[in-house]
Amino acid sequence: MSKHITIDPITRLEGHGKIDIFLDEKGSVERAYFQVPEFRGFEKFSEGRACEEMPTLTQKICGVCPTAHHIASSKTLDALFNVNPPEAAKKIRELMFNAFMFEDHMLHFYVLGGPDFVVGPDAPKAERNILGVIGKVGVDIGKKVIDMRNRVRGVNATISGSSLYPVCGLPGGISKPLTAEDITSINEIIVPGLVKVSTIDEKGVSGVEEYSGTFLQQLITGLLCPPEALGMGKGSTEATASVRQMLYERMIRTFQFRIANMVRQEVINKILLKNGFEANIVKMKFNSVTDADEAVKAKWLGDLLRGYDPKRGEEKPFTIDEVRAMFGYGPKETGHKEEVPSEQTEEPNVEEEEENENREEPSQPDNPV
Amino acid sequence: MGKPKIALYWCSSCGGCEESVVDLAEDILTVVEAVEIVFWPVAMDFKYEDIAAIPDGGIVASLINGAIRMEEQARIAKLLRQKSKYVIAHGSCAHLGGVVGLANFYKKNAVLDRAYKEVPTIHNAQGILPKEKTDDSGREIELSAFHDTVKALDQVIDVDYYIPGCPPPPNLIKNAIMSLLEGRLPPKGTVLAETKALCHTCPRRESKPDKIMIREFKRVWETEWDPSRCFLDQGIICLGPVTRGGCGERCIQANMPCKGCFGALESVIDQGAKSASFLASIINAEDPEEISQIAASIPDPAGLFYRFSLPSSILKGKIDKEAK
Amino acid sequence: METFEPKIVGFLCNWCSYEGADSAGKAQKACPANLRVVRVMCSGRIDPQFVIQTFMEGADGVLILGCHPGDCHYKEGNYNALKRYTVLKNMLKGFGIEEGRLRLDWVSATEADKFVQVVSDMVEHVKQLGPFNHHNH
Repeated sequence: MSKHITIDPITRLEGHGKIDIFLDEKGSVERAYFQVPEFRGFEKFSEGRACEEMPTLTQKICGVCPTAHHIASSKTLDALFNVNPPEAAKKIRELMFNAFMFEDHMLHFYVLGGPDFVVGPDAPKAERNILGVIGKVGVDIGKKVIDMRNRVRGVNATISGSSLYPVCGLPGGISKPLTAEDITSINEIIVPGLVKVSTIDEKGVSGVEEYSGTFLQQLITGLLCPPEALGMGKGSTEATASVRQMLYERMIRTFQFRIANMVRQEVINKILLKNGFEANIVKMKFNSVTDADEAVKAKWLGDLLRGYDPKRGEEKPFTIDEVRAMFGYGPKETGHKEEVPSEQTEEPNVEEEEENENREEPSQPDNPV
Repeated sequence: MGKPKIALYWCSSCGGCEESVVDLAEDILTVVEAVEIVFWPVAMDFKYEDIAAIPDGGIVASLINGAIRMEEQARIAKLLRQKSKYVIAHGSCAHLGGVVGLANFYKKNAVLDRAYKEVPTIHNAQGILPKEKTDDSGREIELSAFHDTVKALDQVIDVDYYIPGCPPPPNLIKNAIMSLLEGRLPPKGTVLAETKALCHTCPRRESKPDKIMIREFKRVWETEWDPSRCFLDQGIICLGPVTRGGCGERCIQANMPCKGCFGALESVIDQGAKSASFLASIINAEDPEEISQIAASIPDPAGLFYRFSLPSSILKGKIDKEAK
Repeated sequence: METFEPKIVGFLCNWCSYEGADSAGKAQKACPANLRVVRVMCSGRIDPQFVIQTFMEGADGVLILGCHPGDCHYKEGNYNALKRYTVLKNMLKGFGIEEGRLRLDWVSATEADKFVQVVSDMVEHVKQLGPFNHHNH
């Protein structure tokens, strides 16, 4: 019995969208369509406007990431006027952008995408949201998250007027310097905040094991599972499952990476000393990464990607057809692309234990401005 | 009886008004304790069919942001109007048309052509434009129609209150919701912000002389200005005098002039006309040639003065001579 | 085909231009009937909102007539009118409103001939431009 299912609107993202799914007589997905019932025409109505309006006009493209558009436009103005901003301006823009990335990822993780992991896709509709997440992790952690994000957005308000609507971008720089008081107040937010954030991660957001588990399951199914089992049809949707997993993986891992990057022993020591304690009596322990750990992880990931289960022994890895059988499908005629996510580049660089004195240099941020 | 129901919806919007609700930070926990949010696409999984299932008047208030650009947005706005006791226009786009209203300076076809056919980064050799109905081998899907012009919310449905700003500061939103819940709403049609112009609360007001007289309007990239003095007095266009206050002067604090996002003052119908009026009155010249020259130093007056309010202005957009 | 007869709304200041129009009438000078007069106390009173509203309500052209510079009954009102008119004209270009639909001029109480000339010129010019039909709703 053919059927047409509509999901309207799609939710928990910035933007408008609707999905139409057509099932065939057997109830399998025959075709799915994604449409965006929204269009504003910035490309046209920006024409004729004064150039200096662009940073504040283009940022209205998106209220979740206005800072990104603002800085891109400011840099375009730099190029238009053929000027090189002073170092201070560049650094302030970079600070603004990094603060924005931080709070934006927090928004995605806790409010937008996070409910899928923390509460789970099978939870009732009314729980699949930030309130459900807070319900699961507890009000205390919920408040910490809200507070942290709010304070980091406050950093951008100090720099640019409002995190919602930065206005400081000019050709060749920004409209407002950071005074000594500004810097003190920003430090007061970021420095203790970093420790707070890593405290949350160290204690573990309750359900994080579950989310990791779900995530891994999704990784496996995404890479090895027949697309039919994920409800994806033939044609161009075949790559979608693995691409989707890669994207989610990158988002969460980027978030972890950024936190890890900001947690450094010297920062913790600064706070300890300020509060009258000795340095190094508190150490942050993240995912320890020794060479041995790297080797174990590499093997584990490799096994995972090949569908290899050590309990079954070295000689008999799972074949694609065996995985398909587990999901109730017959053998596959044509080859299935197994995409290996290239996640090695975004490894978090983290603190070591007492024994290991080596401290790795944090890598450069992705997009220096 | 259950908690009062609230809905939030976005029309032709960027999501900034949603963000400003999230920016209520801890206060959001107070709000959700008092209300039940029954629809909020950015954060919750409720669908259109869930609104339709609510009895008429069953939602205490719908906060609708975004301008009306597409038929679907008009349809959902009307549906929410039917289901809600109060409708609050949330943010500049719903209140006045917003920056998306600048599209009213162009014909609909020009806007579509530019984005789908002409921009350098698009490859659309067949010139395909979005269609309301598409048939793919017997599978029919629908996409909302694109209106000819952008409209503000009250040009499509009856609106009870307005929360101005692009986006509104979180405290204004919180005050609006709490007023609603505590039953102390002002008269219908009130814009829930200050009644006086921005200048009254501007941190630079002490530096404003009694009479401002300018010989030249300067653009922000051709001059340096004193961050403690009134912008207008330094020749930089600031729309504070014709803009409603209540925003906390976020832009002024960042050392940039006001762009007018809170809209016009109480008895004014056309903020752009008032901007033209007051900026003209501070020109320091009497000779027509000089006046012309100084007036010419205002870049793109139409776009600047109507940045947020074009759809709700008297003219609403570029004069469209084609008979319908 | 009917010849188009533009509707011109004129904002005339009480002290000079209205008197000038009156004196043209008293002298029984032939003047196009296209003009509808709104008397204001001073040309400086004219809010750009009036001008725009007038176009929207059906005028094909708007004429502002005030006292000659230096002669304003309220000293500076007419200078404000000139400044507002200049900025407004520039702004209206952005809306596609053609040059000449909005015009400002000075007519003193005794300049009956000038009054007739200005109005006739305006009617001719707006006839060429055609009706201000808009479909903005």
